[in-house]
Amino acid sequence: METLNFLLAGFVTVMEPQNLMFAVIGCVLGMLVGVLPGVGPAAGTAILIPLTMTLNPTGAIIMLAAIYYGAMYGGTITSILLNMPGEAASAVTCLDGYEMAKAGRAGPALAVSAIGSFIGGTVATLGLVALALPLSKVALMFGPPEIFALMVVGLSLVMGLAGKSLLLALISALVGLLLAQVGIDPVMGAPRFTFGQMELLDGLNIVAVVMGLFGIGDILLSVEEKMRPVMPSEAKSILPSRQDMKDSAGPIARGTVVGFFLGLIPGIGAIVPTYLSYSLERSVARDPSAFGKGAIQGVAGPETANNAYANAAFVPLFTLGIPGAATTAIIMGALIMNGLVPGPTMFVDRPEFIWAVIASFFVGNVILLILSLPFIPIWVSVLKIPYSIMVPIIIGLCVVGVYSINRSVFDILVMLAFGIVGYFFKKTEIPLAPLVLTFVLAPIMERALRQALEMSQGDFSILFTRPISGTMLVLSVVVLVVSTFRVMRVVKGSDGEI
Amino acid sequence: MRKLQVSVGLVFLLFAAFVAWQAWGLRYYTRLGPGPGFFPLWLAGLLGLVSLGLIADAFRQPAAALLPAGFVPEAGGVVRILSVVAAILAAVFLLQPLGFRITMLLLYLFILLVMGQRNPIAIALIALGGSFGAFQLFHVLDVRLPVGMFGL
Repeated sequence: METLNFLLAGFVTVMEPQNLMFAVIGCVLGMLVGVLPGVGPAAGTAILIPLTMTLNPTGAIIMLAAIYYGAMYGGTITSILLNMPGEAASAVTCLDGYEMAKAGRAGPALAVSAIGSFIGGTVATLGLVALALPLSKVALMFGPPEIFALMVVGLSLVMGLAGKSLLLALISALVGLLLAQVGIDPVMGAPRFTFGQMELLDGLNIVAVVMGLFGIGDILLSVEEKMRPVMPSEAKSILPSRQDMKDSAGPIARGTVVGFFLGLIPGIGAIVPTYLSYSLERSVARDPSAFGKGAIQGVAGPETANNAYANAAFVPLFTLGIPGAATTAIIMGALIMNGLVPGPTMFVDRPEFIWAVIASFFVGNVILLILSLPFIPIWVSVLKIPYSIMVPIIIGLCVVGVYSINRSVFDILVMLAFGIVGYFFKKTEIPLAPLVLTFVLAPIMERALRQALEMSQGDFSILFTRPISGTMLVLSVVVLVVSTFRVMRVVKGSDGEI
Repeated sequence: MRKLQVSVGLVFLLFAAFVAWQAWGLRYYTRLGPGPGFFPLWLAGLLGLVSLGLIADAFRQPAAALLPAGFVPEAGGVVRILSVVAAILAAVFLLQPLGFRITMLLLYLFILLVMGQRNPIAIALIALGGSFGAFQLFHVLDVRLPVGMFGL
């Protein structure tokens, strides 16, 4: 009952014309950015953060969340029409989506993706509503030792983002932890790694860092190659047939379950639910040989799982303060910049804000469905804009965007530096997600550990003698060991292929 | 591939050594618990160990293994990358003295030409829209952008 009251109040806030407009603008911008080849949801969200800095916190986060799931759908459009995934998680959609497009069925492919994304996203948001208050009440029992242990669990799950090389993922995570040390020490107030620069006393600007890593880094990677014009397939008719909807019903239902439950687990990454969904659909299909040749089930399941995952990833962020993926880590950075600390205290201190954002997910999913279908011809025409025009516009947006946050040229320099870092990380296949996750979590972790040790007068056993923190630390060791074996098995079994 | 992995490992090993050297000058421990140097020193040590692990792992790979296809960009690609970096760097130093409008105009003109755009109308529209147009838009949003020595 309490949850329902809060949610209804949230809907009242979201339905204010201003906030509705932010949700619409966010969806449109997110789809626009997601449609751009080479710009995934993480880069798109990062590039558009500065746009939200002039808004009030509620409007800013409503717009950012809309940008996030708008960008996820934008990546679907390029996968189906161009055979170019906006991010790794959308790659599986290329397998059957592009084949459908080549057969003149791009419209049904895009429509089923939109419908599946809507259902998956809405169900995941219902799950968020159901879990939010119970989980946050549990988390309010946490003191500094428990908060530290929870962050360690979150970091251990980062190994799920390891991909092929555990060592490279560890390096990325450690670099993120070290970068977070720049600035003023959170307990004693001593400057660290500032090299006499006043601008570094506040630490590295998270927006400049992520815009550099994902925005400028992607651009540098893209301009390496000679730009060829993109020739998208035509989307002749939009509506799926009755048979298409019948064939898609099962995959949408299964994709929702897969995406939702995997989204609750931090560190899984969007690629796992989409590939898992595709494998599941192929294994239960009457004719598995149709997959890879334009089977609509191969589009419906993964796309639903992708959006269900994206919405469910907000559950650990809002209730526990742990970002589940790189993009939610970026949104967490934006929350902190707006003076909001994600976690259970937000439900107590700022219920009007958090429930308005949750209500906006329902509204945003509806808006996305309404906007995506009729706008398909427009997205196709955006793809025809030459890359020689697109690249300068993106660079200009990044420079203006990052400068406008603090009106500091130093932030542009930080963005450029991290753009070069991002470029080299991608060239050498070092994953970026662990870096972003640890960069965001490190200050919270360090503050919690040092507060815990002040409580115990410097005795580390406080972390293990308190039952909740002790259990979580043991759990994180188990997760680390299991993840290590899983990654080593993948590497040994695949002979270098994934 | 081995050379690449060893190089990557060495870069991070050097980075770890630098951080450890800087952290050495910070207070390691106080009577109430870790000081500002505690975390950085341990993290740098861990990074150093993992980097050594990466270098050791490199020697498990065959020495003759090739770099991934397309790893080394062609000359044109290198020029484009360096041009983008130089353009943004120039914008950093010119933004205050020349002002937002002229700096962004020059940035757009340069990058459009480097990217191979030759249509004068497209160049003019994007360069002017991205500089003067953006300035007006941010003015409406009440975000002040720098005005340089020429009043622009």
